[in-house]
Amino acid sequence: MSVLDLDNPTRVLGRSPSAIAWSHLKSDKTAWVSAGVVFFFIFIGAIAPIFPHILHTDPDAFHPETLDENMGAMPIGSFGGISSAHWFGVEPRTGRDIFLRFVFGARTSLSIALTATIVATVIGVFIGLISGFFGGKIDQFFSRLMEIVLAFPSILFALAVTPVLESVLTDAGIPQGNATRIPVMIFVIATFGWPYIARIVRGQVISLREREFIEAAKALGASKWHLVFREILPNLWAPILVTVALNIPTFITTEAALTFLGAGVIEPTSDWGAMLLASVPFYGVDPMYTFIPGIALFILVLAFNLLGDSVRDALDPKGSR
Amino acid sequence: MSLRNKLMAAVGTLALGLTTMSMAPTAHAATPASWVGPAPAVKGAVSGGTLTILDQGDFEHVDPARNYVGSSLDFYRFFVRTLTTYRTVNGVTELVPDVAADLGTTPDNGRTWTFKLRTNLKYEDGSKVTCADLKYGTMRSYNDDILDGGTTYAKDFLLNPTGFKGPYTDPTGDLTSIVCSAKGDSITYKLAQPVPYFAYVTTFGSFSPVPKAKDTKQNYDLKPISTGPYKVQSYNRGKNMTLVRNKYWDPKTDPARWNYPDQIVVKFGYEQNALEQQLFSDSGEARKSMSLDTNVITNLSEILAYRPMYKDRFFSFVSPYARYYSINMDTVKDINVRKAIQCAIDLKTILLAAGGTNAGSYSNSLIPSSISNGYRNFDICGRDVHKKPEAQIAAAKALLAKSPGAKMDLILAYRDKGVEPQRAAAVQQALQAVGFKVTMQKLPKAVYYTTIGQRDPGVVQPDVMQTSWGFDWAAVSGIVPALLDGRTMTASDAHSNYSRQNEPSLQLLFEKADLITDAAKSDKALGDIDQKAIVDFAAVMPAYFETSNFIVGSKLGGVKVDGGYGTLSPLAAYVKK
Amino acid sequence: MLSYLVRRIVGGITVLAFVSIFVFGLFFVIPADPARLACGKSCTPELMAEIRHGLELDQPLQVQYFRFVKGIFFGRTYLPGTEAALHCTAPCLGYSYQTDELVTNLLKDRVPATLSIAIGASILWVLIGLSSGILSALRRGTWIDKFSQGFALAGASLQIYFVGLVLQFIFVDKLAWFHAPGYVSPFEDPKEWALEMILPWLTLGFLLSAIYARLTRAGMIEVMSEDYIRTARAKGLSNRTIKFKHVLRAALTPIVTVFGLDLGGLLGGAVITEYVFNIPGLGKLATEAVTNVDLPIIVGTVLLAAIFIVVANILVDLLYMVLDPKVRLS
Repeated sequence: MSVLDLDNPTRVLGRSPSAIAWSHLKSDKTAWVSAGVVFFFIFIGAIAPIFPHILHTDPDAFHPETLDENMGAMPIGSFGGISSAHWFGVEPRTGRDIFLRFVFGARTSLSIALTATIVATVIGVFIGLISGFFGGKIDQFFSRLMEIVLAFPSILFALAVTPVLESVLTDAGIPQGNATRIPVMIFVIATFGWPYIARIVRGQVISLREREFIEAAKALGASKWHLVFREILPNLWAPILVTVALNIPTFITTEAALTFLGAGVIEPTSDWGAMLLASVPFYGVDPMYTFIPGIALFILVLAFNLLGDSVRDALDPKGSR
Repeated sequence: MSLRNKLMAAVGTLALGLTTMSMAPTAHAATPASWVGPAPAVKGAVSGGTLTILDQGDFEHVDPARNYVGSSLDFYRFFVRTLTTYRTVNGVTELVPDVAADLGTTPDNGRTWTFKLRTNLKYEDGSKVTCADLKYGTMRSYNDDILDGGTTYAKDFLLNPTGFKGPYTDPTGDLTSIVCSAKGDSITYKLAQPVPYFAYVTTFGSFSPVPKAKDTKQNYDLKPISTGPYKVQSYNRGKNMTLVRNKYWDPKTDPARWNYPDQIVVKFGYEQNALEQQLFSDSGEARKSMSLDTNVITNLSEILAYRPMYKDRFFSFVSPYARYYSINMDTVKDINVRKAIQCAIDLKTILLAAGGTNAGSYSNSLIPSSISNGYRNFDICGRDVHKKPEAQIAAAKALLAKSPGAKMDLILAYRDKGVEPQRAAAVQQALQAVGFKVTMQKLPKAVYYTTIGQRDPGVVQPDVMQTSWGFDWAAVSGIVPALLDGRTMTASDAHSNYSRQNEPSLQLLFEKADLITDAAKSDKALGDIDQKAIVDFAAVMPAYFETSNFIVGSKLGGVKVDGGYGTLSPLAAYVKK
Repeated sequence: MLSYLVRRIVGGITVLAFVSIFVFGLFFVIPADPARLACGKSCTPELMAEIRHGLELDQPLQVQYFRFVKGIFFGRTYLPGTEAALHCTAPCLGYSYQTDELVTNLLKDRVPATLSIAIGASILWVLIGLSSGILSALRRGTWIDKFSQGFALAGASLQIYFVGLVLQFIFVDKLAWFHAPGYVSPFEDPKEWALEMILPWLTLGFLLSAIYARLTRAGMIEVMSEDYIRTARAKGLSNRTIKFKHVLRAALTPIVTVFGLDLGGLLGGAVITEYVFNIPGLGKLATEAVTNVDLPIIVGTVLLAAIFIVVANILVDLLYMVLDPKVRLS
């Protein structure tokens, strides 16, 4: 029935931008599939501790009987030793179960990356808000700070600074090992990541602060903090969501890259980057060992990229689809 | 003595006539054939062509006073001659005189050594090699602040009554313990203590002639003056080095070297897998190439499966590199805990982590079985590790039950290098299986040995350390004193005695062994200490002796395993037509 | 415009100053003693003390930093007045702890390899990205569009440490189409240089082209519907002129920004790329230095990388001004 039927007026349900966006998103099949993939990996990582009970072994347990000691300690059997006991085969040289290392690796990589994302987002949003809203000297200071952080060759500096930060933590009494490495990794990834979020937020805040609703609130006597956190921030959730979705892949791959280069979690903790690194000497004889974490990482990043695109398209009315 | 892990210099794992070779003055009726050049021709060798060597890393140093790495100690013999050297012919390795004309004589049981010198040696520019040059070569090694990286044997063994500090800081000083004869045809060394094996020590570069006028100090590393069959034409650090023939080298003066190729080109910067792949696939330039530092890892399985196909170019040999675990006797004071650690360590998973039976062979001692005077096959934790390398879990638990309140938290230190992380993971698993709680301490390789050697109060020391040792020469004297003698330690630095071993009863045995001048008897006494330290005091847990696997291009001949340095040697290589 | 340039340069120098302070601070917070590291294997306490004095590590922090900065501009002499005096010409970044070589020389040595990768790859990624994007925009909605977009998406989602390994295995080990990646000077052997660089170029080109494809496509689509394009069409300008003059030019601005940042970052030493492909460039030098805790090289490479990034940023801003008239007037 047409809304303009004057004999039978129906209420026009005005929809908020969020509702509009949500309905766009709901009908986007790609978004559903990619969200499904993302949640699948997170789920696998979350329930990882169940699998050792099913497979009756540990991700760190060595299985010397699965290796041929006279042939360079390579897995016996094809495709890297796939069997009913070892769904993805076993690692060369150690005989550790690859499926278990894969799911526990997902747990490690994703928890570090997602924690770093949360930290970077909180810092980035806060600084972007303050910088964009107050302008002037505050903005100059933070913009300069962002420039400095962005001028650092991040991976290189992360490599150099990891032992330094570790020793700081060790001196504070934290035992050496993952207890120091993981906080350092989160710190490093977040430190080099927050400017990407802060930049976008700042830009949005600058355009928002001149809008009428802000003028109105000011006229009503709202305090600066109220304006920032009660008026502007709620309107930022869209660009924040998009930026986060598009930057998460970077946090994940940076985590894997750092571990790949040796600055990540230490043995025997499993991690996708560590699996890739360990597989390098064997990719000629046991390509499965490289492919498993490699393809998984690819699919996960792809899913996040598609999801981010879908969210942005849903939120952007002017979308250039 | 500051012997470190990197060295692989060793004498004859094969020709152990050496251990029976006493250093007492012998009147040779006739000069042994092996002392006289030329070196015996290699069957089928032809002259000409370019030998290519492809390496991952550059040589650390080729200045003789600064070289301490096995593979480069062998390679640089293309242009460096030392007082004595090793020669491997038909699988037999012997110590032979190089710049010297004999292996030295001593009138006082090893405190003074006199070597006759060859008198017709020339440098690459035609000038004569003199005794004064030989003395100067040793003197400049005293300036190890500038010429760092080498061995400290000269400083350690020679007398130094004037307190000579090196020609750069002490230009007018003299090292009076080295005396050249008036005619310059012999040289005498006066030592601070008797050293029966001094002729082995003089294989090192601090006993090599360097003309004072041409000494460019730290830049000598870029262009050493050659006395060997080749000279350095160009050396771009990190990139490449080219050697060309030295026309002033006379093969008749040299029993240890050959000069088949016209040119030798070394290229650095290759990556392990890519290089291994190139050599394995034998394509292009790789056909005439070999590597000094690239073991076969990835393709090992394939080579082993099709062994006959590769037999002419695949070399698998036991290196003198011992891989073992040092147990810190300062932090793990309870003998039952230390013995339990020995029992818990699973040699099988460790060797698998390293690459299986082709990566090494199990060992029960720090002494390789080839040193027959010092080695014996004793049981550890009640079994022969060669037959039963698996962990002895029940025995370990029984030992721990004897000390109920003992320390069960262990810190395991290892290097960030090669397969060490996997090996450490295997050890962690094994120790945890008997109830230990193991914290992993991963250290960067550049600072590893200095860090685990620290004994300062306040420093948290590791309890179990993954360590290696390659002896400087094939006698127990090159192993046990450095690794187990408490007197090598200082209050703040354990040096190479990572176990911090200092048991009074063992130290007494060391002092007694010092007094033995016969090389064979000395080996046996030190072998006793090795056994007691392992079985009675659980100072270390040996794991395996490393096997090296190399593959070379099919167009190369004459490549052989050098028993002196335990490496694959290009010295007698030739390029097939 | 000149005043803007001056302001940007001053800003860039400030940024570099901060970077240098942070990086220099590394010397003092690392767990290992720099004198110990420089000392090497056969170290004695006397030797270490001599080295500590010679490298001026016994001076207060500010003095060391000041000498360091002075050395960059004017050169530096260690152990002045003694026989062992070392003169390090400007720009002096010190000597490597491992090999005693001048850090500046090491950097100079490694720049050509990194430059080769960066320039070759950047040409490729711009070509691939731009053509993919243009094709997509012009054939919007067709399967060509979908395929191009998919291609770009794959590139954006793959990781170099995975793709690099796989492609090496296929094209170098198995098919032998290309030579094992490495570096020879193009002036010595151009054919070998190309055969060794082509795999890194193609890999990087593919992976980094993604964002350019997206930007080009989006930019073109947006601009094609803009008012002034409609006006131009109404005025009778041919389609071709419209497309190539107005559309591309306007869409270029965000592309130029990203290009500058990508190139700047890559020149700083693409650490992972050089590690995976074993190219002896700045990135490889840096990772080796970190492994060896060779502080002077670490400081030198980070500083150089930061300089590249800052300069790239300034150039991008300038280019921005040239391309976009609106910015010029602000």
